Amino acid sequence: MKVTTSWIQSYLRRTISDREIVDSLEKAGFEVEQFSSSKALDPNIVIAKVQNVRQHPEADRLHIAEVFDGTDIFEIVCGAPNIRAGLIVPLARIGAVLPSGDGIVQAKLRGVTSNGMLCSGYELELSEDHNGLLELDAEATLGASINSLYPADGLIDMKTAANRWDALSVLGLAREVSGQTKNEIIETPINELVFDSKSDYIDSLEPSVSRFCIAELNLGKMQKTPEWMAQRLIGAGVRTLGLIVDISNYVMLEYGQPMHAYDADKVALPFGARKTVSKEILMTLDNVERVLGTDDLVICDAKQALGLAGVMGGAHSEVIDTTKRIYLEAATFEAGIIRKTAKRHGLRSDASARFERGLPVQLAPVAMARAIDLLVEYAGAKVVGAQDKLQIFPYEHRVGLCTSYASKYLGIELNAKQIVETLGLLGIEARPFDIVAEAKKHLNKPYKWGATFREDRTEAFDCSYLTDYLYSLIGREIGHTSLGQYEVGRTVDENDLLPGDILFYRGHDFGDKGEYDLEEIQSKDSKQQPHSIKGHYYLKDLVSGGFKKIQAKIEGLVGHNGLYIGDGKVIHAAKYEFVDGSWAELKVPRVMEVSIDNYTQNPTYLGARRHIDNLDDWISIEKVPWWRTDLKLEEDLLEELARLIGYDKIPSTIPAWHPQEVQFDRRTQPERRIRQLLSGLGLYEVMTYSFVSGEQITRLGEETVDYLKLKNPLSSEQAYLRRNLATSHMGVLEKNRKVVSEVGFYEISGVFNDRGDELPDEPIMIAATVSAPHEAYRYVKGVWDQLSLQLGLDFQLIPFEGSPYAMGRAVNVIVRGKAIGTMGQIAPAILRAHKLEGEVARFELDLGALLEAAKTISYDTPSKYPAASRDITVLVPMASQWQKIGKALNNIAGVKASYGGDYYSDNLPEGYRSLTIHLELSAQDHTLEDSEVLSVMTRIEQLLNSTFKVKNR
Amino acid sequence: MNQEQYQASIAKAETLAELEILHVAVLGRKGELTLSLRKLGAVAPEKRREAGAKINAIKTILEAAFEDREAELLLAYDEASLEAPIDLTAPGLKLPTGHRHPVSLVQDELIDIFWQMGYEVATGPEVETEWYNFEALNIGPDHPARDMQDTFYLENGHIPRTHTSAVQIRHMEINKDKLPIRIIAPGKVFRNEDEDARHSWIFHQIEGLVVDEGITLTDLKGTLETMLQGVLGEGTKLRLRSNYFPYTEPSVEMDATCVVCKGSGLVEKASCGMCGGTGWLELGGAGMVHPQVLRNAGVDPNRYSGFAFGFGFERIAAIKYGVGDVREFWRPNFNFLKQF
Repeated sequence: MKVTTSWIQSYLRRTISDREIVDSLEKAGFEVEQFSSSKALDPNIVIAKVQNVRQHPEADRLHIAEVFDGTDIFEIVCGAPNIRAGLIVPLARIGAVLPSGDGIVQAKLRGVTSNGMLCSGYELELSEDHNGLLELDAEATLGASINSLYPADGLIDMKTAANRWDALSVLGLAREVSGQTKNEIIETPINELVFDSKSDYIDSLEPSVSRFCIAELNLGKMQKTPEWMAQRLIGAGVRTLGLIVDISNYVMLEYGQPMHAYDADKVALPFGARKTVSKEILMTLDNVERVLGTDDLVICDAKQALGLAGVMGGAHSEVIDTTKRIYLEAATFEAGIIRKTAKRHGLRSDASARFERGLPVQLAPVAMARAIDLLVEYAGAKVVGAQDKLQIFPYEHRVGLCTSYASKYLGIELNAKQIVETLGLLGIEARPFDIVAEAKKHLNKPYKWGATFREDRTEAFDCSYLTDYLYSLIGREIGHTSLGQYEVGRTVDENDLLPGDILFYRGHDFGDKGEYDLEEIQSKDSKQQPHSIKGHYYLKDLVSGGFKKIQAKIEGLVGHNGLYIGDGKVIHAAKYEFVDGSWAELKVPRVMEVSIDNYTQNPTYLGARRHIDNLDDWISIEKVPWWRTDLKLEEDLLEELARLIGYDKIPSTIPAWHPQEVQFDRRTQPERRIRQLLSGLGLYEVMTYSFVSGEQITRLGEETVDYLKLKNPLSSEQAYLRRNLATSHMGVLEKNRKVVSEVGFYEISGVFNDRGDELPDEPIMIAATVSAPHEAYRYVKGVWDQLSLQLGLDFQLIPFEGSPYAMGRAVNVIVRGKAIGTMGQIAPAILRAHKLEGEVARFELDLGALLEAAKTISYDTPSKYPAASRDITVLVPMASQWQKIGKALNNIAGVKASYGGDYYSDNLPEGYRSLTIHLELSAQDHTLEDSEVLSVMTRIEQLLNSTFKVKNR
Repeated sequence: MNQEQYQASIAKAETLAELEILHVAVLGRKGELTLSLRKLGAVAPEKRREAGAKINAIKTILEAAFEDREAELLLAYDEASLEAPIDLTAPGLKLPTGHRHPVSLVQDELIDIFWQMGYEVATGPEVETEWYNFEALNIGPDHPARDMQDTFYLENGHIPRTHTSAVQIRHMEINKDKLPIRIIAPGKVFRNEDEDARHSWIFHQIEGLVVDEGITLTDLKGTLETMLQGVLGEGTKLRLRSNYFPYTEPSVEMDATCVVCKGSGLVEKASCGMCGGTGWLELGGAGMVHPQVLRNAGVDPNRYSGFAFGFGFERIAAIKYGVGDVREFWRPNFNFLKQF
């Protein structure tokens, strides 16, 4: 919301600087996005229109403009790139002085006389833009001073929190500034508006309309929109559109209540509000024909829809110049329905922004009265009639605050007086809570079984409603029934009673055992009057406003109760009294004071309960201003205290840590070690988008149907949730193909596997990709060898065929008998699809499974005696695997076999390759004799020949 | 050869190898002098003693001569080996080096800081239900705060989580009988909003949550302060500004003193480019956990209170490494990444 500082100032008793206004708003937690202030400009700088433009004969970059200021035409030489005919611009006439101090004189520029200067925003210090002329509103009044558009004022542009409708009203902002600067608020006096409930302006209303006020006015002599109002509107970024609309906009900005004026001659009474019929069409004020859905709420008259409720009025009944009579509407709607409608129609209006935040029902009549005062003054209006329909019950939710808790919470020692004073700065009325004094206020009020706040307010009570009510004054929910209050409270001994404790009788069974529940108590027609409730009770959920049913733990009946007030006395709402050992009906059932003996000496006495330990430490909030709809809980008030005291004043502490148990993290460190290892091996760590395009998927030879899809992607580039990292990593190579030809990189990230209605399976994958001219697979395999070595993994590689790998160039990685991922070389066709050359190889593995299988490396004691080294080269069948040969050889005691290299050649026997094996032969306890070496070598040869069908070269 | 001749030969040896050969020839096991000593057995016993003493004296002298010559030759060798000049500032050999991702480095650093403060690392799914992502956090279907977080939806109605706050509820639900809890939850989040230099539609957040008896606003402030000093350096100051989030009450915005201008707003008399001259960097949101949120997770707000905070760590990485455009983190461009 944009607002001028002078407008805010107009509600404050003491004049403060613009800086103070901005600072106090920020301190209060309202984000000021921009603040600028302007000085009054020379009145000789006026609004003018560029009528036509021609090229300067001597200079390419200059133009000669004919400029009209409403009276005269001036020829002006101008170098601004954005000059064009029709533009409305600031004209500094001869003699004007710019904010820089430069005076404007008649000048000759390259031989052409210039009679003034057209200005940029920068030259007038109205904006930072010095790249061209300041372009003014096309409808600005020619010849008027620029000051009429940019009055000397501070201009604040602020963000509005989602929970503060009042931050969208100047008065709301002024109240915050007032609280922060201890500055008194001056509200404009308003003449009371009298509503006639018997009028028939209003017909039936949807329940989502909380309040609907309508007034009929005859218009008299219309004045122009007063200058002060126009300036405030312009400052707020609202165009002036004629007096009636201006007034309703003005009051909306001032109070936050959107209003709508209808041309009365175009409305067929009565007004109503209903859900739309599907496909209904409404032409809104912006001249757009809107097709309405079934969930839209419209204001209608007897014949048709008049406007989209809370969002935008209709064109049909728009107020025009010739309008003689108007209906003025101020209403309150359920926030959700307005939000949905505005969203559905892409129509976020000033009105919907306010309704969406949930306006209080108290606002509409106040704002309407204010608007009518302005209409009377400036439009000669006379009120013909007015009607108000309130459709919801305005519950007052009371709340309390515990002084010692507030002190501890804020870390600042506060007493009750300081808290009361501080909250008072925001109009919150609070005082130390005195439950005895509160109880005494109701002495002698009549007893009524089943009394409720809704029906009886504080005019009548039954026993448990009285105690419930008293505790509700500090926002404490102790239960509405005696049973609930008995169960919720803590047992206290009769000798330790404190004022505020509640004493109970056993249930008094009159034989009427009707089950009862709260709806019955609250429904007006409930004739049933059970005497005692068994089995369950209800507690109110303070946030949702609903109730939850609680099964009672005790058996039997809890009947009557009363509040201990000290000095051996109890106040209770009673129908019976206990006299000489028996019950007698009171002549006047009422709230009365009795001796505690009535309870403790009574055979049906049940016990005493305490609901709050330190009642005298409590402050009750007597009144939260109705405009602060956001204040509902003790926590909300603590926040107000924090805001007013200032977060900078709150000390810092670090909470102690006393866990019940420590859960060791077996994941974070190993994962980090893997990252360090892979980066140490020369790979880049990358992060890539989790969402991929359909093309990325199909180019890998996969199907988009297997992928989870976004309903509302930002672009088709990111429409699917990736199932593997290959999709992204091929894209990385493609994008970087001109940057690097040989590169290796890896990523650890979750991927998403569709599980229908269930949340997707999200394994964390680790994928490494290498692009190289040759032997890319060996590079990746080298990475895997290191990784598996460091993790102490036992694994097997089993060849398989599948996308995106080349035929015969892929393996499944098997750990603990389970495939946990794949490794291989990418198929050439897929490389071509990504415009890649050379070779690409990769692995992608389930990190969780990998880490689960990881083992601490077990140590082999190396022999102290020197080993004999032997290299042998043998011909092995093509399909044989080093994985198996190496394992078999290493299983021989005293043999360490390592891979020495493969050799493929046409000169070798068909179906064979040449394999070199490096052998280290040793014993733990001596140096091997030549004969021993020979015998091991023989064993090795036998093994190779028999098991692996090796031929000697 | 006599002693002088030996000495002359030693002096003439030009290399260590030559000297070694000479040493073997003279004093080795089969060297001339060694053999002379052995031959003494044939000498008459009365002369043997004298002759032996003489040869041993020569041997001692020659050993010393060998040692001296060796020292000379070593010195000469060392000098020669260092004679050729080299540029000590020229690049070293190119070793295969990889690079950690800057955001991942920041994540490591953040986790380390919180580990030292006793926090556990918690995780949750990246695709969430409406309940965990919104409703349990007090953000009902019509809550205007939903607009604060433009949301992606899957076709089946699930939500790529818009914030890591979803982990709060999951963790509290599981651990409600093992309170207190103290966790951080780093992870990816997704927002359906247009990108610019300061926003990408995907980014990492780290969520913090502490729930215990008697947790107060001062604890929140102290924790945030300590954390910022851990992340941005000891001199860092914290500023809290009031804000609104449906899942915390009170809610605050946390700012840290700018790492570049140290809070002055000025760099060499010009407005600081990092913080726009305000002296403060906006980092994220925090607050005391709303009682309804505790309740939604099965924690009794009358007994327990807590605080939570969250911020994006691309932003921290951008600040730490001076990266002007957060989209760089995601591209990925190897010329960018190789700097880390």
